[in-house]
Amino acid sequence: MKIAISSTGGDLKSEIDARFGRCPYFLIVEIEDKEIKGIKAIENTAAGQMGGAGITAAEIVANEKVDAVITANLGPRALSVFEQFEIKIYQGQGKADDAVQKFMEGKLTEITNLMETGCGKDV
Amino acid sequence: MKIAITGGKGGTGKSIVAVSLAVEFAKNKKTILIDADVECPNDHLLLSVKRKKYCNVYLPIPKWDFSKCTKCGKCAQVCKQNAIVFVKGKYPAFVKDVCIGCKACFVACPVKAISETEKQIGTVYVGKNYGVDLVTGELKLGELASGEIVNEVRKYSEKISVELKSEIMLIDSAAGVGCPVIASLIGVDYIIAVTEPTPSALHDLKRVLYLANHFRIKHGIVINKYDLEKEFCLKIEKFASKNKIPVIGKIPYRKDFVDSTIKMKPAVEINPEYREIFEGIMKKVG
Repeated sequence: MKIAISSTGGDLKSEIDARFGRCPYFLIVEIEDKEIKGIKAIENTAAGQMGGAGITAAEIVANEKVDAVITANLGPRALSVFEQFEIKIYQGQGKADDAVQKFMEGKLTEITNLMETGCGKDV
Repeated sequence: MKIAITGGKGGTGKSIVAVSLAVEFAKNKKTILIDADVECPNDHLLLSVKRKKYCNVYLPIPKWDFSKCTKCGKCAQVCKQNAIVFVKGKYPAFVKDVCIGCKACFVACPVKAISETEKQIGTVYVGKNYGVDLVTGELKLGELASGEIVNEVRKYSEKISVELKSEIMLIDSAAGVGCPVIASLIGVDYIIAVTEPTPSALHDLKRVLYLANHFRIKHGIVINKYDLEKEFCLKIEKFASKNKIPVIGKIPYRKDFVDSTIKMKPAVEINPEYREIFEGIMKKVG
């Protein structure tokens, strides 16, 4: 399976970016048999948009044919797009490789509504 | 006769002027006041009107029949709002929030998979007090289309004013010069620009007068709180005379006007002394 992670940098040692729509990079990670088989970093060209960054970022990620997304926080419009594309969102923080590990162990919580993204709480 | 009250700068006293003017007009002619500040309407408070819901305002939005959809992506291509997201191999995703109801996607779909449904974007309320019929438009929080709501409120107001046989229609616009303001100004017979003696107000006044000239609508200036800064008030009067714009009223800064907003009673009812000023404005508007 393929997953996308909103990232502050171009490799798995980078911190997960707290904001999905305006992170600088997405890490696209290929996982097979609970092992990382491949990783690439793509630039989030939506980051500089005046408005609607979340929607465009969702499109960029969906075009990578991912099955799931790991991020700390995302807005209702991006969430709506992923829900319609049947791509699941998981909440993750800290280093990207730690989050991928936790994901493979099934330890990450799925975000299905905004209360779980930490809006208003300390992230 | 249709009269719009605007001014550009917020807080100059548009609503206070609109409300007292409406009360004065209503003493001799059937008067309807439209609160076209749909983002933050206040006229029902200034007039102590018990509002009753008249109807909801809806925007047309698309609905997909995925059994017909061929995943061609044309709908997403034509959507200027980026409300439709298309990824190869998947049915399009639709973000209802940002749709402005242009229906381009309906036209673009080659297999007629898109039909029309609607989303509520606002509400129209009606009420009456102090002899004035009030119509209020209110935007549903989170929606983008303030200008559309003003258009719809004005359409409903036309209908209501015919039913009520109104002779005078006053339109209280929002601050600024954007879509909702323009939608409040078009098609009126006179624009009253309410300003105050400050550089910010004069700056914004010039922007709103640009609109009045662009739409070739007769207009005049009311200087509210004029005695707060008599020197700057003179500057505004000089600007007006240089550009051949009549100053149709000057309202002094008095605590009564603040009281009128707290007590939710028109200023002319709190202190009949002010009736003369508003009668003067009425006469100059014609």
